[in-house]
Amino acid sequence: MSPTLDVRVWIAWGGVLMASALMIRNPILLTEILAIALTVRVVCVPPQRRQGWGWFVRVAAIMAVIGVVFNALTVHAGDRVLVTLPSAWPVIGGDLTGNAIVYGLVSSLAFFTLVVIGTTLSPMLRWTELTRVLPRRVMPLAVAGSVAWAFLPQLGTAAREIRETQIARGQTAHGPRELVSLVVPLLGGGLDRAMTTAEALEARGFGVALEGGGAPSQPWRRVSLLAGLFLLLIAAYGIAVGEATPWGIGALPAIVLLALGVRGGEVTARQTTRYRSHRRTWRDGVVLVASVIAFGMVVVRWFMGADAFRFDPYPSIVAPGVDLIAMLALALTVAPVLVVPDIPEERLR
Amino acid sequence: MTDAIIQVRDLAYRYPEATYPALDHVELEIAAGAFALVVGESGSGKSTLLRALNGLVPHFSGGTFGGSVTVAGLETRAHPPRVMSTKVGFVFQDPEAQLVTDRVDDEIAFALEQHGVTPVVMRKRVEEMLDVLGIAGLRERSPSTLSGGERQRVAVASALAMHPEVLVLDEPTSQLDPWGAEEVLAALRRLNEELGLTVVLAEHRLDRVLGHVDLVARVDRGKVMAGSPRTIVPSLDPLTLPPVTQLGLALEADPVPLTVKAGRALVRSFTQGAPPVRVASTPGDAIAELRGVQVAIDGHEILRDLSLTLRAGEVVAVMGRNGSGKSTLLRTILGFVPPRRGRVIVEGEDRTGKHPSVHKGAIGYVPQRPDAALFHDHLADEIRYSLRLRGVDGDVEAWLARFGLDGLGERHPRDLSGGERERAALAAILAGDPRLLLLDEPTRGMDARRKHEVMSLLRGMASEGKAVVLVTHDVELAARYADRVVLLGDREIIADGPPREVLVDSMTFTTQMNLLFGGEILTVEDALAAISASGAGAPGL
Repeated sequence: MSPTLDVRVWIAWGGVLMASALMIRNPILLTEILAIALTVRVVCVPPQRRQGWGWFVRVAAIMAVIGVVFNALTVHAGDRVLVTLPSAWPVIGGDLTGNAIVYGLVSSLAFFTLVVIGTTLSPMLRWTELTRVLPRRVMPLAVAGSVAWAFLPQLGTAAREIRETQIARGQTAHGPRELVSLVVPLLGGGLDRAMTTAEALEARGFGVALEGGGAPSQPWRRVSLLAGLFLLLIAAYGIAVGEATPWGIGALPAIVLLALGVRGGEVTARQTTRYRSHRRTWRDGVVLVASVIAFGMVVVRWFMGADAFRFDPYPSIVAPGVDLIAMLALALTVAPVLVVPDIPEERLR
Repeated sequence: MTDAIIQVRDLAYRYPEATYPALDHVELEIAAGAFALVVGESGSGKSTLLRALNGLVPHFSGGTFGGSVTVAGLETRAHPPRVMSTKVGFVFQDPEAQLVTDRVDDEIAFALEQHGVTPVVMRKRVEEMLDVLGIAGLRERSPSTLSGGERQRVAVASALAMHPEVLVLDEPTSQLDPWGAEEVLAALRRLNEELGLTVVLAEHRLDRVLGHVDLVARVDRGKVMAGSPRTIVPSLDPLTLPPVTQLGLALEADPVPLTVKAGRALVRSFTQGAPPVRVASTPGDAIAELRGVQVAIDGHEILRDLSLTLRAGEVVAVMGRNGSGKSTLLRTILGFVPPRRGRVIVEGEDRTGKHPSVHKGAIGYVPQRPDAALFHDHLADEIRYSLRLRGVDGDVEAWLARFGLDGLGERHPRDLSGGERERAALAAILAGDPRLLLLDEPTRGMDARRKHEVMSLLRGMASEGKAVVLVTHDVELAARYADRVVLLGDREIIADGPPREVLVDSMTFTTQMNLLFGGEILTVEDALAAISASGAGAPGL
């Protein structure tokens, strides 16, 4: 059982917020999304599970500040000139404008919001649960992810030990050679561990279900996967060059084709079983329905071309629009705060 | 033997590109329900033999394989390890590398899911394993939060979930402290005695298992000799035997005692004389000093009001439970963990709160896996690197010779054998003659012969005027080689003095000989001297 909600519901919730943060440039709506993510983080994620993720948030905050400074120094457009640097200065020479700072702030706000959503979602997801809800065909990949995830803290410890040993040997400089003295032993140790883990997996029957006995691979599945990927790439290109609406619609059949391709792969594998499946409760239903409604309304408003979703401080800074419907829709995603139960203490140790 | 569950016939195996066989025409039979112990020096072929029992050799490792291995009716050559996993459960040395999920009960269910066992049966098996291994209280915990002993019990439970007929364990306690090791070995004894599970265990710590096994297989350079413990024990290197057995052999006891309990009967027949006088070494000047040090990590107090002086010429063993702050103590001296309060004085200079680079290589620090810090292609370059960092000239060949590595300077450290690699790591890290040596469990996972070699080296360095500080869980080692034992508990030093003061009158922090004789007797040499002094004239003395 997932500690709080079905892992798929958490993913749906996080996906809705992330997609919204990617679609929206309005600072009012972005701030609302950030506030919702922070509220869920504070209320639903126990402090023990937040530990370790704070580092990502701090790095994101630093990156956000750097983003604002970078934008201010390199984009010399807008009507609110604050100061003019000599034009002979490469890259940064020219007008430093309030418009560039505002644009940098909004971009950094979007980036920081995405990181906060990610660091709220990650402690609530468990790899094992995740592997169980994925299609069986991608199970080996998911287990590899799970192993890599479990390896990260040990990698950190190993890196610290190696670094300390080299410093104790008298190493003081920080050049490429010193980097080699850290990276080479780290890779060597990682390889040793990878071999042991591979042996352990083999000795416990990992992959036995994929060995023979399955139906042959279906050709239509490969065609479906290829077609889906192709359409998705075209849609991504269209969105990137600014033709979001038609290509966004075009992405839907691509996703369907990809899903068909992946699902179809399951028939080629012999069946593994699952130790437990999450019994969905009304809590899962509430969060899922709230998330779907919220996203549906945001998407409808987006396709309707709601001006309030956009914000462009060039050439002049104008106040962002207020879209009450979108604000109310996004407010629905605060549902986890209302329904997620506390995690019992013994699960947090 | 007709009821053999494991039959190894003329097994010969050579790793890819190896010039010599890892296993050389091995013949071995193990009866169903037996507890078999596999012994031998590191690199002798123990792990290869165990991996042949579930097909990892040759299916995973490749190489040239001859002869046959049949376990519970399945021939390993025809069945890969993933199929053999229904018959053979396998537990590895490193508890961290074999657990792959983020919850204990999921870990146990992992193999069952892979084999497509129905959820109903799966749930029953998971509950069963949680109870059998006594880990039901850990079911919702993440393996990363467990102690080493708990993790290995989870690994055993995971291996047993498929209801294998044989459980194979490759030095499962070598990375554990004595309490964790005892947890695992007690669980194995119970599984063997109560459930009749066939257990094949490779282990260096013979003192905890030798009295409980039915069969000992001694592996030496790929050849295997098997028999009952009493027939095999005389052929083993005495250093590898439990002290009580060493004593029995020295006294020509028949039968040779394998446990402390059996040793008591032997001891009763001898009169104990005065304990031998040990000449205490005279420590030199203070090299490092901690004064009233308080250390906290992430807001948790680890060390409190700790004062300690480390002097030239001393070998100091730092002991204590896991988490008692032993490693933190070393890192505090080095400056990696600045103290909240108190002073750290090194070579007469107050270096409290200063960056570790201030020592300029004057402290040699050997972490738990020293070979993990080597990065040059040639061992000699690794030593030159340390010498250059410490700003000293040195004769690389002479230094290598001191560690028994003559002529290996041009070899890649990873190409050396296990024992050579450990000594190479010590040689590389300690090159340049630092005056203070800090070693964090330097003998962990080593066989007895290697421990002796490493400790002899360190004693030699102490006699040259260096201060040697080693963190260890090994009481026998501390009793034999240390001049002083510092016992940590409850964030403080609870005892500090010669082994004869600190390691006596204790039920856990003491040696087998002290359990037998009491008083100040700690080692086999002490015991023999005391018996000799009594005038009892023990045979063999």
